[in-house]
Amino acid sequence: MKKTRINPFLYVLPLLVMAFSSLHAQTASSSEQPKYGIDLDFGAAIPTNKDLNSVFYTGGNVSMGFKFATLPTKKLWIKPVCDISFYSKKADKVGSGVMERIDMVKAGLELQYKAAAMNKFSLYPVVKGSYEWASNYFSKAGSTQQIGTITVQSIDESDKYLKGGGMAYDAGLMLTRSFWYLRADYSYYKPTLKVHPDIIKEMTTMGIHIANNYSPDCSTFNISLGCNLNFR
Amino acid sequence: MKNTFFLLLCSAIICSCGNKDKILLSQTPMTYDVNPAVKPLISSNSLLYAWIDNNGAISGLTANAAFKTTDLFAHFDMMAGATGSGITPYSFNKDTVVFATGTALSPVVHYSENDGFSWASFTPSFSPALSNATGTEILVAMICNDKQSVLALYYQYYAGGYKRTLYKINTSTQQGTAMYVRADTYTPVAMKFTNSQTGWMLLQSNGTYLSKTTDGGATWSTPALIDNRYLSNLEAAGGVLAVYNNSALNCFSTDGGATWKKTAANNYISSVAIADGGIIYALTTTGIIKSTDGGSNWNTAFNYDGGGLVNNLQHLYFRNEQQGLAYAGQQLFLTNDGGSTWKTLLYPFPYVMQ
Repeated sequence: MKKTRINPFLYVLPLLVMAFSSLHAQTASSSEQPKYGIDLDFGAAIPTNKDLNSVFYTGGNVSMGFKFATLPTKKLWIKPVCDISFYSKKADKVGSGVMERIDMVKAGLELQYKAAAMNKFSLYPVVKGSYEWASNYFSKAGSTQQIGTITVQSIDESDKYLKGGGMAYDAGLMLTRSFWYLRADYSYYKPTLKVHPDIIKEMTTMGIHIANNYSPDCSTFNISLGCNLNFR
Repeated sequence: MKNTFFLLLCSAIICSCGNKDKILLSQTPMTYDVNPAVKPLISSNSLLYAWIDNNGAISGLTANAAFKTTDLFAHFDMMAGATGSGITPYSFNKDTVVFATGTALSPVVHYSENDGFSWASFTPSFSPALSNATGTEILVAMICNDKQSVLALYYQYYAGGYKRTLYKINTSTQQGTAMYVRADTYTPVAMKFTNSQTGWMLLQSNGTYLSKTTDGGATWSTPALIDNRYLSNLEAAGGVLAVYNNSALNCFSTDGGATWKKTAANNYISSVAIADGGIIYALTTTGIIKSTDGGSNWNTAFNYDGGGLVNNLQHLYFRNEQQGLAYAGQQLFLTNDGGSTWKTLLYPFPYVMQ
């Protein structure tokens, strides 16, 4: 029941931000209406339903998508997008140093419409439909390894005790200013999670019948800060 | 812009703070297999008997209480009260229970016609009176074969002689009358009645013998040899008889004891239940076996090797070929498919006993 992996977010995120900053500097001088763009944002996901809210305080999320403008006015953006949300908290009841985690990965299509612009600010209503995969597991800091001057901490992970997916629907607003944007949206997500067979078997021996599937309401209110790179 | 974002983020974290010692898995819908409310029924207690009636109601007796349920212990009635240890084994006949405490010469009869929810206890008078003047009196068994009386089987041994006496004790008048007295070399070890008239007595004397009555115990047939070894357990239902001794030798009869079939030597039978239609279920060291032909051939109905909770059983009760109970100590299981699968009704799970 134990796997080891290195957390990828810590390494990928700074690289992407650096790349964005560089590309934006190359395209910001032009005054033509942009046709394409790349959005990258990160922020917090706050569970709004007690199913998830009673387990986790707040999660983090990272989103990235390539978008293109449509309509003659170029006000409507269509963005295939990929999001990753992750929740983590201490699970002392499970064991010392153990963290309970939920990872959610979703892929979908987002629409952004430039509804208003004032001074350097623009306001975009956004809607998104996507399929989201979720997995619940436990992790614990494992051994450390020295690679050159870098110390790498491995993470021991349990099996995925709950795993499944379902459709997610988002709606919200995005306020942009130049390179940056602030975004707030509500995401409705009620996945069907399958309980690990070993859990079912173990619970049976303890005289408890546990459902094969569980559908918690994992809806969240999300706020995030992002940067975009528009180009023609 | 940055300051606004962090202000919003911090607000969100504070708003969602709370008691987070739950884990998501704990919120998955769960149901208990056993009603935790049964704790008083099994805590520091042990099942003595359980049976199931034609309407599916399960009743029984523990060392400390009587119980009855019509919905598999979702709800149940319980009457607390220690039954005490007897000088005879408990004799169960569906809802009727009888046993004796005290001494053989001055027994106290405890009699219940409602699964032990209420008891009538009395000290009967005997005619002729009990006496150990010429030997030692042993009360071998006390059984109920009808609703008006109980039978008390006495065995007296003295220098060079043995005598067995069967008293019929009227539960209303509390008067015991000797209805059968026999002095010979046989030692009575068990007695069973299948109705008010027909019964069998297991006897030992250089082997195991069986004697039969068809007039309520007034007269008994000449003991007939079953086997040269000693067997002490007797079960009877209809014309089917089982004689066994938790040993490799088990004898079964489908004609009221006229002829016997002896099982293969590798089945150590500790308990037998005879269901309607003469179907025989037996507990062995490896599980439950079943015979539909009066003990000639046996099939495995349930094997302990399958894992799970059903293990180390002590008693069986089968109402018919499909529906039955298996129990031991603090555990009670129900089957509706002839023993293939079992539902746990009572079990000392941690959530029950905490």
